[in-house]
Amino acid sequence: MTAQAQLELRGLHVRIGEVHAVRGIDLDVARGETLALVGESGSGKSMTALALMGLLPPGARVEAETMRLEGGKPPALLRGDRLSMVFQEPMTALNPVFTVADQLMAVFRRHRGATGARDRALDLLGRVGLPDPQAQMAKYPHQLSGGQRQRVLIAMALMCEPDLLIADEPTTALDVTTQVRLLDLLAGLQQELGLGMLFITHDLGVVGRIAHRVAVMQAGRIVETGPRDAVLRAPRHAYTRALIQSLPRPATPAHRPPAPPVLEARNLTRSYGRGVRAFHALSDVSLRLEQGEILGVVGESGCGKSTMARILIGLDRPDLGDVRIAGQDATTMHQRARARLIQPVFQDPFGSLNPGWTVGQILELPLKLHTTLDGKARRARVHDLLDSVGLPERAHGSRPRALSGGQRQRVAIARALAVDPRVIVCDEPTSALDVSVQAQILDLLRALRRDRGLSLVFISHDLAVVQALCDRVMVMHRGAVVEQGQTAAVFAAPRHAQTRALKEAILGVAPLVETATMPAIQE
Amino acid sequence: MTALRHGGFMIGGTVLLLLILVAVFAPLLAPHDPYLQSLTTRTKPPFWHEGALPGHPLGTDQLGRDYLSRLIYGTRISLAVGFGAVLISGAIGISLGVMAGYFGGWTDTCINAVITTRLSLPVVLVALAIVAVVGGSLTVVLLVIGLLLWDQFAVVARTATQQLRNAEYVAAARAMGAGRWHIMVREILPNIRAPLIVVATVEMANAVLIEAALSFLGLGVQAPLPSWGLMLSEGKNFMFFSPWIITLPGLCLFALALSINLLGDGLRDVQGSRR
Repeated sequence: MTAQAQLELRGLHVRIGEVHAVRGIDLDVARGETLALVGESGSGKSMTALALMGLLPPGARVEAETMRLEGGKPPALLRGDRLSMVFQEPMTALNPVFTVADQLMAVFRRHRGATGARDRALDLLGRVGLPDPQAQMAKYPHQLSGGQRQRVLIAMALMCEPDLLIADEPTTALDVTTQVRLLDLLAGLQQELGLGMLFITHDLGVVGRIAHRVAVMQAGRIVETGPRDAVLRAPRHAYTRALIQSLPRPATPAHRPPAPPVLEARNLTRSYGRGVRAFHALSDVSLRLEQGEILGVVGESGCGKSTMARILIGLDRPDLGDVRIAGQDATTMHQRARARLIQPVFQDPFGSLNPGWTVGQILELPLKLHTTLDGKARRARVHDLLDSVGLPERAHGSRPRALSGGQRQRVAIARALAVDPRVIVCDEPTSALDVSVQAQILDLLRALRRDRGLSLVFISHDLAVVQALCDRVMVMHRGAVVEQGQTAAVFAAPRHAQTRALKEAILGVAPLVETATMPAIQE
Repeated sequence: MTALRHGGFMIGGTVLLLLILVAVFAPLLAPHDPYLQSLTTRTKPPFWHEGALPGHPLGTDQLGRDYLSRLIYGTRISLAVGFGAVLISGAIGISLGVMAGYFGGWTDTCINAVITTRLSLPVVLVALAIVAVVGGSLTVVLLVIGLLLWDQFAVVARTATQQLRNAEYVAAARAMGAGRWHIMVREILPNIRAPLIVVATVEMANAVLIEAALSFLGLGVQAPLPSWGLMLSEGKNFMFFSPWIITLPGLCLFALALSINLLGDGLRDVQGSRR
């Protein structure tokens, strides 16, 4: 990089209480450059951004040898003006009681004075790709979708023509197709305005789409930094290699002999509300899952995939249609009988375990409900379950709070396995997890299918994961199945527009990575 | 923040614990029989006044009964009403609230109507009316207060349950085939305990004060039981010449209500910082 560094950061340390979150990192962002700061949760990347903005929680201590923007001032003094930030969660980053116009213009008035605020806001709303900026100005946040809100937030960050934009996972909370559009928008604006951008993400796919340079962060340190292609194609540090290795890759499907169906759903229909305001969550959806098969269900949020999951598990009833599990009609089955055949694994590893119980109590509950085992036998069985999901025996006495996200998800899987069900319905089981943890959970699911002959319905918005795991895939859009078939075939030649959109939204680094020879991970 | 470092929690907790100990060990602590009258030594002042009677450190009341002993026994009545009323009202309010929150729909509508009705009744007036009809006694006062103070429990339990009803761990338990009883009692109740404990402390202080008010009005605990409210009422004719007769029970009530409220505030802070 020949351009002058716009942000210069040397020897940054952040300590919060006893935790040494950032341990002496150096960063430079040049004018017109996007530097991606990549790392898993807890690596210190968000702390770095907040330290730059001067927005760390009280009690945090920041030390740095050098921390300055072009011109020599410390960045925290210039926040909102020369330096601005786009946050992760568009649903809560806008104040719900003010209009878009109020919020955009307030930033401008604060730093630039009252004149021209409105024109600038209108101009930027147009540039971030919102149709009819004049109409958007008068809207309240709840009238906008997640993607639209994030566009408003980007416009807000650009109101004062900053030199440097910090984006902290700005697309993580959005649908995959929206994510791609927003990344392209950010990249375009960054070029057009000559912005420096510090883009924080955990997703190497996003890096491949947007970054010029990459800095990989692990446990508070930057372990590798360099131009994007060099880092992704020839990673030098073992951690970077492990990250790239754990990205989901399309699997070559093993040949499976045809097997009898274990789960069948016919013409499932479900709507909420009545009359003209009714919302049709599911219309006429059928599916068939064979013994030992993994069926992927993909679609954007609101396409009905979670409603379908709830109906399959028995948490909701369809208006029409029926579900058969292991040849029995599940619609008339008692929930307890159904529970022995089909079990869920939910998305949120923080919400799916009762915070007041120990892991042992959580895993004993299904045994108490469904078996006649005595206390000693139950404890032995709990140990087997912990073992089968790769958790140590001592996890027995821990409460969920003391476990990591990946460990909690293993407990949730163990709970589902406790009754030895025929089918497990996984609703986005890995979307809240880091990539390396995701890879481990996917391996675990594959192993369970292989060893126990389990059948899985795997719901996800992430096609890369589905490609890596599923034998067959079913694409849903607005409550209906628009395409289904063998995973490889569907991805090779998608017929429906929604499938194509989802496919284009896969931010794999595969094209970048596969052109180079991947060094084996042996360290 | 840990409980032990919270000033209000520690002060309130210590005072309340002391009062509980006083109530439990009243017969050992009281120097005299609280009911023993002595008309020759009426309205004797406490030890810091001239003319105090040896052996009666806080003086005597208008019937010559030892005031310290009456105050000590009065702790029993206030605490019995406080804990008893909260147990009754908590049981009613929490059951109604959890059911309304969990089942929703018609159950919720009906229970909500009951809650709204209850909220529109002025507690002291209704309690006065009932006691006037039934006749005052400690048991009646305790029951009446308990049957009237459940509204905050119900409101808080209902809202907290609504928030947890759709939690994934509740869905997981339902998918597991767990019954409604199990879900409400084992999955939901332990997780809404924090706000309910705070409500319990507020209502306990409230119950203590309502008992005192009813007794003061002559419709609560009946003489010669040493209720602090009744002592205030009986002493009001002597307040100009023997002010300690109303100051001392007033201070006791104040200390009890304050310690319960400090404890509740402390619990709320400690629990809030743990989330």
